[in-house]
Order: sequence, then structure tokens, then C-alpha cells
Amino acid sequence: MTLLAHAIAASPPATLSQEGLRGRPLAWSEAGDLGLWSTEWAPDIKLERPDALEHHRLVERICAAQPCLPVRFGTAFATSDDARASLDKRAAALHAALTRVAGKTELALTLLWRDSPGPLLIKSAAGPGRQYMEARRAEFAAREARRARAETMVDRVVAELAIDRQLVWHETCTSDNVAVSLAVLVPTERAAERKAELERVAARFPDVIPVLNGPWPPYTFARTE
Amino acid sequence: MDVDPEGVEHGLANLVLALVEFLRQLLERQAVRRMEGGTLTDEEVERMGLALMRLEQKVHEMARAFGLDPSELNLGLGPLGRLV
Repeated sequence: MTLLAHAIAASPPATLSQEGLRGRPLAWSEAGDLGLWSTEWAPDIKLERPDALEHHRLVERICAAQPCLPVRFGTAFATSDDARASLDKRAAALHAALTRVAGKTELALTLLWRDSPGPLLIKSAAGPGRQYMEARRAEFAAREARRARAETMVDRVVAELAIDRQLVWHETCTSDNVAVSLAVLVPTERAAERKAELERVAARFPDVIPVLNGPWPPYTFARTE
Repeated sequence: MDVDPEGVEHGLANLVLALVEFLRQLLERQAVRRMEGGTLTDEEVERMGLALMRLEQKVHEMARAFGLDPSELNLGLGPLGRLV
């Protein structure tokens, strides 16, 4: 039997239904004042896409019951001792992360560029080598301009919502159509209100389409490395 | 351990070509910087542009030969972001 991990929380464990993934038993492995919620799993059972969704629902259930750090779907431990050893090794960082997410929930904002970069106008009289170099130069400049614009939008969001920088994670220009991927931790009881504010600020950017998601468990802020 | 030999070849080709593409793009950026700095003659810009263009074509051709889309040559490095 292996353990399929769902979330890390502080002990004592909250009172939860004992049903884990696919109706298998939900287990609590305690190490000091931390513990791991996991499903007792059989290594020969392959994980499927619906299991990922059920894992998400389980994490939501655990996070609703007590502050927790979601574990990446598919993380497994061979034994309960292995799970405990893993918690022990990172205990200080896990405590810090749990303190950071306690009473908070995650909202996610993605800003998608409305337009793709315009066509590059290169002097036709130049040779193919020069045209290639000029095209690259224009492409690099356009990319830099987009990155700078994306960072400006992140700064605006953070400033207008008066969010503590420590509670914001973001990446810019991760692909041709994504300007900003941003996640923010907000007090759980104010999640709806903060989401509406986020929507209002993002709607003011004329060059992007905002996509808002959440509230959901603090997936982005569970990292300890 | 469940290892698919074809998957290994595909994965290795992806990794090697991604590194080649990474180096090619570094060269390209350096070349553009030199062009902007005005340290290259027109003839040198033309020659360098042609060389980089052919190199790009070659890398993309090799990627397709391994069933890879050239856009797949940009590897994700987790928290560090994309390779290029």
C-alpha cells in the first residue's frame, strides 16, 4: 500500500469524513505538530484525469476544515514513515507556509493579449541576411515592450488593490498570448469582494482580456522551496 | 519501471534540440546586439543573418524529423520559467 498525498496541515487533524480518492480510506500521518492527509492507495492502480478533479475537491474539503498546504496531484509516499520523514525534513518551511495561508484563499488572474504582435516592416531593398537580422531586432524590441507593459499592469493591480507583495505571485509573457499570470492570497471571508475589485481593475486595461478564477485552495503559495 | 523506447528517443531528441535552440537564440541575441552597437559592416550583418537564418531552418527541420513542433523546443524549467 502507498499513500497518495493531498494536503499538509498542522496537528491536531480536523474531523473529516474518512473517504479519500475513489472511496478509499483517507489517512492522517503525523510528524511532530504537522501531518499529511493522503489516500491509502495501491501502486498498481493508475491515476486518471477524474482522479485529479477528485483530488482538487478533496483538497478543497481539507482546506475548508483547517489551514492546509495542497500537495501536487500524483505525489505518493511508499510508507507512512516516508511521509513523516518528508514532513520532518521541511518542518520549519512548512510551518512558515501554513502561517502564510491560514485564513486565506487564492484568486487567480490571467491577462490575455487582445492582439498578436503586428507584422514586421523590413526594408525590401536589403539582402535576406539583413532582413532576417532586422526582423529579429524588431521581434526582440516588441517582446521587451510587451514584457514592460505586462509588469506595469501587475504593478497597477498590486497598487490599486493595496495587496502585500508577499501575498502575490506572478509571471509575465509566458507564451505569445499570455501577458500576466497572477495569483493572490486574500482573506477567505473577503474573497468575493476582492475578486470583484480585481475584476474592476483588470477591466480597465484596454489591451488585454482578463480571466479570473478562484477562490480555491492556496496551490501557488504551498511551495516551500 | 515502465519505459517506452520510442518515448525515450523522442524525449532525448527534444532535450538535445532544445539545448541547440537555446544556444542558437543566444547567438542571435548577441548578433543583434552587435548590429545595434554598429560594430558590424553591412556585409558582416548580411553574412551573419544568412548563417543564423539557415541554422534556424536546420534546427526546425531536425525537430520535425523527430516529430516535434519547433515551438516544443522551449523547455519549461518549473519555477525558473521557460528556457528561452
